[in-house]
Amino acid sequence: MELISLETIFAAAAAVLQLKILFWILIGVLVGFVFGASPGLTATTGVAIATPLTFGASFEVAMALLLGIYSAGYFAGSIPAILINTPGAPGNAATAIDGYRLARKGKADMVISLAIVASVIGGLFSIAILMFAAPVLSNFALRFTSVEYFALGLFGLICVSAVSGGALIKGIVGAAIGMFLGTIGIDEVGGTTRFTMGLTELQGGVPLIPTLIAFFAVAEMLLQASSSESASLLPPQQIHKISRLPKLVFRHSWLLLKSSIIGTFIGILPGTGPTIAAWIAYGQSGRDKAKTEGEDAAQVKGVIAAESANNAVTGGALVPLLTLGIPGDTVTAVLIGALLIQGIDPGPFFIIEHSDLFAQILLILVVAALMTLVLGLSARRFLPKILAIPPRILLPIIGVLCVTGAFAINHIPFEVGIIAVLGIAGYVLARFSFPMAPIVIGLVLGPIIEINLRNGLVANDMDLTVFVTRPISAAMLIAIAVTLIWSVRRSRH
Amino acid sequence: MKADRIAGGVIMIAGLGLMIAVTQVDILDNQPTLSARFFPYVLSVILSLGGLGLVFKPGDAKFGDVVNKLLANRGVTFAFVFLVYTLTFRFVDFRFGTWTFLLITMWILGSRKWIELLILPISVSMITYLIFRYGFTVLLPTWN
Repeated sequence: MELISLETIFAAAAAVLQLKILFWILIGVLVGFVFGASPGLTATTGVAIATPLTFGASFEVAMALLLGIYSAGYFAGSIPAILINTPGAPGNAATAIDGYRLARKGKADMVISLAIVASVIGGLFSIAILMFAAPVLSNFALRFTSVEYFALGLFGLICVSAVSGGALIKGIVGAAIGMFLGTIGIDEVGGTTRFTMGLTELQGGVPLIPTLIAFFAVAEMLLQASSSESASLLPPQQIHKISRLPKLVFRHSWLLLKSSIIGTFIGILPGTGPTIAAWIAYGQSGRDKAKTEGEDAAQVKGVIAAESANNAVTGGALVPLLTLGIPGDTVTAVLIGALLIQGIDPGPFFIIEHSDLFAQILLILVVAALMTLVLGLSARRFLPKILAIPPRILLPIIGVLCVTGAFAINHIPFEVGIIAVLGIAGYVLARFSFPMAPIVIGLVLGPIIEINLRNGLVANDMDLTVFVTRPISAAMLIAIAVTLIWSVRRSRH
Repeated sequence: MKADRIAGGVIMIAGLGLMIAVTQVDILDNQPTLSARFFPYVLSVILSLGGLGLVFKPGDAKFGDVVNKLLANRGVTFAFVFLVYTLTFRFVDFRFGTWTFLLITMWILGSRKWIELLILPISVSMITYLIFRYGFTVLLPTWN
């Protein structure tokens, strides 16, 4: 692909770096913070609500608002994940595991700072990939069939061992429970109904976000409620000087790069998204090895990996959108509508015919990422103060937010009931020391694995060898085997 | 008795129960791929084996200790109130239901200051309602 000419970039910069456009990017980032940080209200919701408002606006204003929401929204869910173990979006669930543990040790300031920086670096990396390699990568993505998606799903399951701590059997059981929840509803391949117990509300399956709220937020809320009254939610927080951040970031530069690559790559694959990216990056973060350096070192790695991969999806997901007209994730699916409102047809000729608009999109993403960095670092000191609120007040408020968040997704009261039932089940499991994360991983990956296994077999006349004869699938299966053998050997030593 | 042995036993029974439930799933004749029963069946085997694993390799926690923590008064009462709040969500005006939920749960968790109990439930329920109704255009249940 020819690089975009300097002339085009300068022209785009002149269009984007105007006060009016910068203002709308700022509005988008602020809205993204609000939607991303509110459990149940995701960046997708924010972009979907804002899209009709761009009717009549110029292309630059529309993209400034929507991409600002996109960029900030994917990061902002890490804030409640870290502070109250309640991911703002599924993509931040992996961050909750280690981020919340660090916050409980008084390191919320440090971990929020790291999450911000990791997110921004991941986002900027993916934008660079988008700029230089979009058409090449989109051709690679087109080679992914059901067979490769099945192998990818299996690869994602490896991170169950990473999130299970020392309780691998409980992690596997949790993942199996999650995968079973994923089978509830109408079978997408055969069309038959499974395990709905006659409830029509379950025909669409167990919804992901209410399940996330249940197992992460509600279960934790009940755990806290059953603890002693004098226990506060978080200990006094240590202040982390910004001047120490560059050194900390540099120390994890390889992990940042690896996770950003994972996030960008996953984002390029249509129909995936930040959830899978974050979990895979988390599983590959090397946090088990880092435990020899101390628990904190391992948890820092987990947060950095999850957040950089989560935000790296933003640029990656724009690759198939702007080169093939296929959305890479749910937000880009909504962005198709926004582009059509502007009279632009995203597809194979978009970059060639509208290189100026393409350059503007890249620059807007860069500016949005930098605004997220500045605003996030500025606000981070105030955020943990939320936890100074006594548990007798904060826990009920969290309960209310969980309920309204669950209802806000689809306006279905049944989903509100789900968070209570699954939340109580999660509380019981947590009391028996079952980790919650594998359940959510299973719910996300289970359908991907099952549907693509069955579709892959249909497309290849039930030939099982196709999973090892197709090169990309074979490479991933080999990587899975190597990772498993290495994990087992390491655990024995 | 170790807690994991009990948990493992329950999970094993659940896995076996799932195996039986899978046989009730309708399948299509002459389906050119694995049936809708295949994956749930595999999961039921994994659950059964996982439960068995826990029975033979339990952790150190004692069942009595876990149950005591699980059935701690405040936790159980809070969970019950939360369950009632969510199950009645669609029938009760959001503002009233939320106010009631906040009042009761704050009391359960030890709030005894009358000013807290008077101001916070009302203000939180109203602010939440206004933000979601007019900010996010979420039509929360109301009685009018």
